[in-house]
Amino acid sequence: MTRFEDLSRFTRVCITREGGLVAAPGLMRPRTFDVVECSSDEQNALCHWLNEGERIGREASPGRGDQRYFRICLYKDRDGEASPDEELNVPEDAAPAGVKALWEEGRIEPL
Amino acid sequence: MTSRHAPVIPPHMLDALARHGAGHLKSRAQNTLSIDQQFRQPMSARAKASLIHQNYPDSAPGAPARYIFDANHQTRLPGELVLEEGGALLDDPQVVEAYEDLGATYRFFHDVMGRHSIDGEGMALLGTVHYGQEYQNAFWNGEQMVFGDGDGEVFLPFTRALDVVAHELTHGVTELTAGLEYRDQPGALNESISDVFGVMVKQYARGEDVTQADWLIGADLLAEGVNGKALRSMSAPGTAYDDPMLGKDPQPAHMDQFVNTRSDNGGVHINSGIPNHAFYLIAMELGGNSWETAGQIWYDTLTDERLASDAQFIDFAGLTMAHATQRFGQRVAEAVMNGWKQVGIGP
Repeated sequence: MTRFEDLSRFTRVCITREGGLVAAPGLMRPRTFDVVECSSDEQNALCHWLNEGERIGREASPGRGDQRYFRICLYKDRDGEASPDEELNVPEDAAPAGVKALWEEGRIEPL
Repeated sequence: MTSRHAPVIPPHMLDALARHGAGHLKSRAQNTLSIDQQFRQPMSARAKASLIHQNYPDSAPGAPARYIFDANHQTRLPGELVLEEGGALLDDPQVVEAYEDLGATYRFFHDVMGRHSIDGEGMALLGTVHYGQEYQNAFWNGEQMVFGDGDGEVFLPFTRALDVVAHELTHGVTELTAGLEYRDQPGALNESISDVFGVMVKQYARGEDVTQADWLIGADLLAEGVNGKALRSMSAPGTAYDDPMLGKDPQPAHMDQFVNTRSDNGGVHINSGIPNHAFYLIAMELGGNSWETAGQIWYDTLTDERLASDAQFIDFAGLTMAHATQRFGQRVAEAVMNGWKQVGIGP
């Protein structure tokens, strides 16, 4: 069982790109995915990319030395400013294509 | 260096096989990814420095050993070697800037602080330019410095700014000395130390005393039309920029405005404004050249074995006061204490 086996308990997945020498708020450019509006295939793909991101994030030190990274937050609440229920950081230079696509293109790369 | 450790099948190909491969190929790829994960543990900063020593000849004390690479707008590191120490300068401004700025930073650490390169043992200085496509960043990856060209609309090439090149090199020094964790307050100290030494390298190279200096980080990076003067201001944190593309500079100058956040590794580039401003206040109070008194105290503190990797602002401040007393006496120690007090840190 992985941390992102099943997304049905979440309503939103948000991704930002953070860190870097500049680390200006305007460069974070958040993207939000509504889990309920995702098809079953899209949810499966999202789970896959989150698990891949977690695998890579564990072996690196996201952010260290001004390296940029993707921060992915999962929320149970539909709205509001609550803290994320789950989150992971994925270094940009090692991020899987599917994680990059989430932030750069706002789309879920199919499996 | 990199090729020696590159896997035979790149992870992205394994990933594709694990997702799309037929029967046995798919399961084997999944197994390999799993085993690969078990073996690829992070290397320590010292182990990475040893690798650099093995692969790139050191220099004699007093002289740098610089190696400049060109990534040719890809992201594979280190890229193609285009300039070695003492080689003919190319007709490429970013190559020349990286070479000269790394040299200026080496000279500062050697001539002012008595440190022979990043690890104190002559470790070669590796810098890669033209990294990625319109890449808006510079970073230290544990082995080398990397510089993007910017997009030309918001950021110019990151090698333009000596203080930025010095900032990245200082990340290497910090990793190999205090090893400050890159999160929350120790991470903000880590970032602040890079800004402090970055700004001192610039002041030293320009021969500026504390009243002549601009106390800005990355003033040469912002393109025309951006509403800002730099990436950060040490004299007035939070005022460096306010621009539609960048947003507003979020740095606080005082503990009253400390930002509690999980973003940016716990606000490492945000709350660094507080120790940055303390250094500025202390240097201004002491007068003269920043590197002669305040800078020596900061270097003594960074290289003090008592500075823990999870140090908080108050721990760092306490050690600066101890070193100020030890090296310069009571008057300077009082100036240091007053500087920290003005940003809300201290007894």
